[in-house]
Amino acid sequence: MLLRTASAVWCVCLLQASQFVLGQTTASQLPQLHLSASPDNAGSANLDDALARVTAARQVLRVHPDSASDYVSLGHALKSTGENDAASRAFQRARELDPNLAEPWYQEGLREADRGDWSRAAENFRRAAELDPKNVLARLELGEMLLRAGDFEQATTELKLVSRLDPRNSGAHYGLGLVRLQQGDFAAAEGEFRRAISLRPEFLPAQESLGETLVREHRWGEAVAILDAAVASNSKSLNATNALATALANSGDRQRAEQEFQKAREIARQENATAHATGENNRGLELWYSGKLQEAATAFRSAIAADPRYAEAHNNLGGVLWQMDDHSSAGEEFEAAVRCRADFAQGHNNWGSALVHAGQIDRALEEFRAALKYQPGFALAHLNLGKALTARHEVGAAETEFRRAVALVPEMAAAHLQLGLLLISKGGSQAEARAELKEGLRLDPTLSSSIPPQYAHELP
Amino acid sequence: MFTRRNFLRQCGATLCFVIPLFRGRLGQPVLAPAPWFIDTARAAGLAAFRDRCGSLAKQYLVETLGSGVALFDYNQDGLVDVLLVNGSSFEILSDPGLPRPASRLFRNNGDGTFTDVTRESGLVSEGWGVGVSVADYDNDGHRDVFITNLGTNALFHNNGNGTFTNVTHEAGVEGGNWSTGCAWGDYDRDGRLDLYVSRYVDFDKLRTPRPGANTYCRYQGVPVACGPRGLPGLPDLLYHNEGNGKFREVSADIGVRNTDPAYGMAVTWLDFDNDGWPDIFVANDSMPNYLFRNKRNGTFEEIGFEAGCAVSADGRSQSSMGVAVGDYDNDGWLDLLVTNFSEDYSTLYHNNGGRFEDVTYEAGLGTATYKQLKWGTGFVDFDNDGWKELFVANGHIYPQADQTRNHYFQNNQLFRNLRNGRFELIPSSESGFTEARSSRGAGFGDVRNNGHMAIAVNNIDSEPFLYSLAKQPPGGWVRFKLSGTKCNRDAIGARVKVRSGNVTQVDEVRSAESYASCSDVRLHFGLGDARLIDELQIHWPDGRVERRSGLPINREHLLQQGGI
Repeated sequence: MLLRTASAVWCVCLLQASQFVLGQTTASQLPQLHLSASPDNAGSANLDDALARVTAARQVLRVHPDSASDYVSLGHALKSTGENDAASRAFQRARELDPNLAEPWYQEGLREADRGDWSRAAENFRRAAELDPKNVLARLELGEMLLRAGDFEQATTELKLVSRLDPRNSGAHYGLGLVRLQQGDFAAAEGEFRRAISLRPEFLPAQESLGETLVREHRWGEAVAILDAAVASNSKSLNATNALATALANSGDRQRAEQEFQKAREIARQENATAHATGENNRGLELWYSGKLQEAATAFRSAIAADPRYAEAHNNLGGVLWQMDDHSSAGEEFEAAVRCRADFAQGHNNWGSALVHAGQIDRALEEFRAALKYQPGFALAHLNLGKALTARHEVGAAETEFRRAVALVPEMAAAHLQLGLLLISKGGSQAEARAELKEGLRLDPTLSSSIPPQYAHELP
Repeated sequence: MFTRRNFLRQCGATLCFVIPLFRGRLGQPVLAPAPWFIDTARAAGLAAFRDRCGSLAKQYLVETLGSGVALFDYNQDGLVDVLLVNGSSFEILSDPGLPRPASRLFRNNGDGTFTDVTRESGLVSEGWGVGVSVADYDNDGHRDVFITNLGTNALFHNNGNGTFTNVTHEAGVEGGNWSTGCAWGDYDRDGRLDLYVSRYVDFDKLRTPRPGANTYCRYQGVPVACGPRGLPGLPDLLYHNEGNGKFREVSADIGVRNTDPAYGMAVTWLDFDNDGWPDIFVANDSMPNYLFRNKRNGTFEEIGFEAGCAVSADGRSQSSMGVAVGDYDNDGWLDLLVTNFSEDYSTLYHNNGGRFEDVTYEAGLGTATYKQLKWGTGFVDFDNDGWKELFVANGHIYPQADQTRNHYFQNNQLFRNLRNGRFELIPSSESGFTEARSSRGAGFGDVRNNGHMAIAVNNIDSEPFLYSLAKQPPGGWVRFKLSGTKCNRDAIGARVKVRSGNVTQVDEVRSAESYASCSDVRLHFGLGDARLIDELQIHWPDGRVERRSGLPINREHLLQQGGI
């Protein structure tokens, strides 16, 4: 019975079309600057702690619904689970409640910066810095935005201020090095890059920029040493590889130089192939959104032809094929997606869903767990894992997963429904079960048809 | 606040007195410097042309590229005429009933004015034009015109009587899809000019996403026309001149097709390694640039990375638009200035004996060219001091740039050569480039035959500029018009070395450079204080070398191969 319940709702648990993955552009102008040492939106290693913080913040807000600082707390908690859209809404509410709070402006700046809107990002970071003049992070980000936009003098002012406020800030020194480099002051640039590396030895962009500076200064031997290490850390770095080849050519090592130039050419070729594939993938999504499934599939196949290891395109093709009821081919594409990229959480989730459809619950469990290994806050994967566990009669573990899904995305109707059904079937708190069912159907009344008849009397 | 800067802005391009907060030695008011250039397009009659390039909202990339300009003498009267290439629009292309915004040929009247002779000349090009290159491909003494289009390209044969005939199909140079740059050069030294055509995007309006549809369709977060990244590129074309008015596409046979399809923009021929054989440089948008080294056996090898000009020194594939060729530091090797997209610098590749080095920052061009979106460009000695200045035409492709920290209309720029490997940006108030538009192609030439180099600029959706020098350049000058007898008649690819005093300058005869444009084929050299050309060397494209000495200055010399 439980299995039937679970399978009845499987069809909604593949990612929806709008959730499939748009390709990301590579920076065509400045390289990523990475002034900040560590973004604060990294997924939490301890999901339960993060979920507890989300739950606590929501509870506090029930009591203090107009508390801007509590919305900030909720935003941070949501961010730590990877639920960035929900976090963004929380920060936005905080800004509305108290425009004099710096943190929500800073967070909005980060969001705009991610979208590539340097101008708006800079405005938000500036606002945050004005409200909290010693906010190093806001000033650092502001400096980066100004640097990107070519406002070098203002960028220098901000980055110097960061350096004064936080003398050990490696990002500020790196940014100042970039400004000096642009201005042709190589000695000063070198000093800044070396300072950044001394503060953060693993700071790869600073190592690459130092190597590039040494090449510009014709200090070939030193450049080779630095760039060899940089290329060893990131073999796909076009700038480090090209600079290394240049240094080698000028230091007389023609043979290695030719090898590195060939590598640089290959990296550039791959970047181009990736860009073309991304374009086709994006076109495919647009076609998919407009209901042109066959044309979308063709576009995704074109993307895969350009870059056979393009995980997102395989995943998207799988999604279209699934919608076209070609489940077998869809499964192959999902599997190909995770073969291309082992850490592709969405691919694992979809491949797991396809395996469930094929009746291979054990293998599906592995895929859902893999999805959650790489994206602990992936609510849909928690839901799917919960359902697979239900099918395996691991009721306790399933309940945990449903509860995680609900905590992560309270708007997810299916999670409430599954939790409610599970609580009823295991004879737990009936009041809670009914509350979950009620919430699920409130959020999505169409799901009532997926409730097994024997539970109909439980429905509100 | 009243500052000198504001005051200069109010003065614009006119000469005006600065409030005498301080005075010169004799107590005279200090004059603001007179501008180098004034825009004479309207007075010259060129403002009758207005470029048309799609919708003003620029929904598609094809609507953003604009067009080029050619400066050449079409009727052999010794005066440089002006051809302004025009674009079109989707609306016009789909409706034969709408008037066509044709390219326009303006005859130089010799008095600073021009007359539109498009119709009577028969040089009527009504496609969506982009680039132009002019050369006498059939060695009949009259210069022919090739125009690249969205769609079929166009070759106009010069009949020698002031008229042209469209011979595209007979010649076999239709191309197709979306061509941008074009340039003539004789790669196998058989005395007949071959043709390189760079191509951009395999364009299909129906397959192109809407502005904002994905990350390739946004600029700083603002929805804009998509591409070129994410759209398929196109292979370039190289046509061999078969000598009977026909061409054969040989790209695949001789090494040009060994590269990936790219987003090709400007193309130029130059002998970068001084081996006497013409090589090809292609500025690619969003991809590494190509340098095809002539292997002297009728084939090429792409060596952009090895030669140091594929990417910037920090290894980025830049979004390249135009290219200037010139020996800016007078060391005998031709350097490159590649213009790029906004939020990136124009890259100065110094030629270190056949290998290029990105010296943009050392030359002082890093920050000064960063914000602009750069297009037409050239190394030209405007002040005739023997050292070439650098001109750059600017203008964003997205009108939506005005919603960001950038701008659609941008001022063009002039950089003074400081003679030490560095350049200095001349303020707009001094250069005279005070009116901001969205400029594209730029060509250079001595339209008055007086040693004053002028600049013609094609502006998108607007009237052109004709920048004429506002004052007499201080230095002397000399101009050479070359005529081949054993090599191609235009002597395209010939290298001229001029020594006067301690300065030796070199340049080559080119059929195209800048962005989608073609300059006066006659070579102009500023000579500073020199009174004489001490030594002149001409390396003809067929390998022959001729020398002369003691030539007078401040005039044009006709140099016919074998006649020296």
